[in-house]
Amino acid sequence: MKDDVLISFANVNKQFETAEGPSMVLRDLNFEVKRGSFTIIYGPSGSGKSTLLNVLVGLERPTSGKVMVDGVDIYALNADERARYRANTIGMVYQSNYWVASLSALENIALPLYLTGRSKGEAIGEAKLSLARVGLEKFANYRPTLLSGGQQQRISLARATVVSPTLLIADEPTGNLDTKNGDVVMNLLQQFRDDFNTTVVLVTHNLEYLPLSDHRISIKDGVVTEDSGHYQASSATLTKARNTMSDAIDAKKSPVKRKRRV
Amino acid sequence: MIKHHRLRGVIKPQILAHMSLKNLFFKKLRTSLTVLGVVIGVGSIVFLVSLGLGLQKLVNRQVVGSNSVKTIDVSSTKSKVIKLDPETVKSIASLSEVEKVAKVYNFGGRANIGTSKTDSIVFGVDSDYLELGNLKVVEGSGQTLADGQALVNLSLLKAVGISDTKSALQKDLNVNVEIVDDTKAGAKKNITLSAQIVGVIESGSGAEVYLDSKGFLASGVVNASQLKVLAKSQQSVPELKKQIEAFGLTSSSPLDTLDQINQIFNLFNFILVGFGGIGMIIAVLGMFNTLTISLLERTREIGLMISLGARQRDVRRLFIMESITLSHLGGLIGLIGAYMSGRVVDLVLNSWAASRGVPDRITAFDLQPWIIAATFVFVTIVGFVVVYFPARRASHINPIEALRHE
Ligand SMILES: Nc1ncnc2c1ncn2[C@@H]1O[C@H](COP(=O)(O)OP(=O)(O)OP(=O)(O)O)[C@@H](O)[C@H]1O
Ligand SMILES: [Mg+2]
Repeated sequence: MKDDVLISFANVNKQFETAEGPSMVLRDLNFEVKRGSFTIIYGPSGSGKSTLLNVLVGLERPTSGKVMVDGVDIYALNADERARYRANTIGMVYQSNYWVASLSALENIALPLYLTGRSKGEAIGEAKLSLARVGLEKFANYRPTLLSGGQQQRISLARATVVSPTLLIADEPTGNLDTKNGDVVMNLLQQFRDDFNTTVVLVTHNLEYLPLSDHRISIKDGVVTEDSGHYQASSATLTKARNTMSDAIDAKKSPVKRKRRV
Repeated sequence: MIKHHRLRGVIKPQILAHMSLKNLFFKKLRTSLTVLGVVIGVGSIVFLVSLGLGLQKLVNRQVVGSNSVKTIDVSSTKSKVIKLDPETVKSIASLSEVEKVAKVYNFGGRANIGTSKTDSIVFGVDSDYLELGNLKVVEGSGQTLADGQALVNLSLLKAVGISDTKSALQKDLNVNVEIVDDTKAGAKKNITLSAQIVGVIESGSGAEVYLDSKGFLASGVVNASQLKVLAKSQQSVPELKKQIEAFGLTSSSPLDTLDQINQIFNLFNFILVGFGGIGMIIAVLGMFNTLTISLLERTREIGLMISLGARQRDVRRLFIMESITLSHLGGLIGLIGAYMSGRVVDLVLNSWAASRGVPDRITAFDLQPWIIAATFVFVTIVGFVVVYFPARRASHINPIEALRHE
């Protein structure tokens, strides 16, 4: 495998057993995603996008095929190793927000660090930086459920990126947000990719965001119908796409630079 | 695989502990009620058992008192037929487990000090009896009685109107006793003996005088009224009693009473544990209920943790820690509560006893170290057993299902 390829799906099939019999949700998927790319997966509802992401994060074993991430066949790992893979390599953002109710926003952000064995002090310290990146420092001690949808999604992003993951996965992160908040979230995703070379894989319904990507995969009825391949978007395209959203971006005003952990 | 070498470790136990505490604290009311259940369950068992054991100890001490548990009182219920004559005494003394045999002779009589008179039982005792009888001396001495010396009890002094026990010492005492002259086929005979009071004892409710038995023997008394047999060991007492009863004699020992009391108390303790146990069962069900509700409520939260990279065992440990925290907190507070209630009982009992003139301090509540240790072992086991199913279910939560949005 070439070194600049982070993800590769080879002949991946996923079949669910349902009351009406077997249902083929992913059919013979073959694609690669390059390190540091911004990939958007799109397609109609029910086409299998979320299932694909679940396979990618190691939570849904494919019926057949091979999923390689960062040079590792993730379904050749045992359950504990796969848990560690999730904790260390992946950041995940969902459409809805999920929290550990008894913990503050800050400690929810620290959770992935806890799971990778960091001490409380260390984790809280890093979580603060992550919270600052999304511009919500003053909500550190709030219960996350008390915050607005847009704020919650930004805190989700802070949590997803706190371990400096190799791969940031987002399943319709803007699905429940208005345009303004949606743009803020999209911009943050781009920022992580630009600042830390984090590979971003995004599922979205909103085709307006397509220009932000440098790699697009269209999926329908579990089949890849179009794979743009990795291409370098012209900086003009990127700049244009960004300018359309710049009004909504307040997080970018106080960028906190972090060293990427090796 | 090389790249996975950079993977960090797994969640620290202290972080899991921190998270479980946070969660328990988050549900303050539910946590307090659950802990309260355990407090009541553990507290009532510990309190009742400690009280039972304390009372048992107290009563046992009262029964045994200063009497040695190795002594056997021997008497004859058919004194016309079976007599405690010198041959019988000799046979008993020659039994292998017998250490010592003390003889006592007692008759009814009248005692007078100065002009005051009273009816009294008059004991003729030997030095062994004074040793084994463990008379409770309140004034003067009671270890030996020379010829012409006497011990009297408080009841006698009261009967003759002497309230200052000290002033009774050195006073002269005359006793008129109706004895049985065994040398003349058991004919009754009155003799008068005089002695000086050398000690005052606390015993019995009727007036008693203790004299050296020589005065009786000289007047023709041969058969003893009672024997006190000292066994070589406490273990040999039951066997020795059987051997003595084989002579047709009656025997009794403090050990008999002790056995009966212990039987009653064992039953009593058993019932107390039963009552406490019902409380504990309710507490355990409460814990199970709390943990199960917590599991159902937190399905998403746990799904989230698993998707973020928690392992099954991390989830299991989180639940186990919560359960152990609940049960130990309950156990600890239960112990403290039981101890404090016990102290209150003792305090009340003592002030009540003091108001009735009992001089000694009573400890009815006896919280023994092994009960404390057993409590911690017990709540640990309870914590683990109760959490077994909830923890298992939690660790098997499917994160995809848990996080599927509505
Ligand atoms: N555990 C399962 N058992 C049976 N069928 C399933 C299961 N999970 C998903 N499916 C089916 O697989 C298909 C694809 O679902 P998936 O959630 O991946 O779609 P999606 O592309 O993410 O749709 P949406 O855009 O609405 O989120 C659906 O028809 C769904 O019903
Ligand atoms: Mg979906």
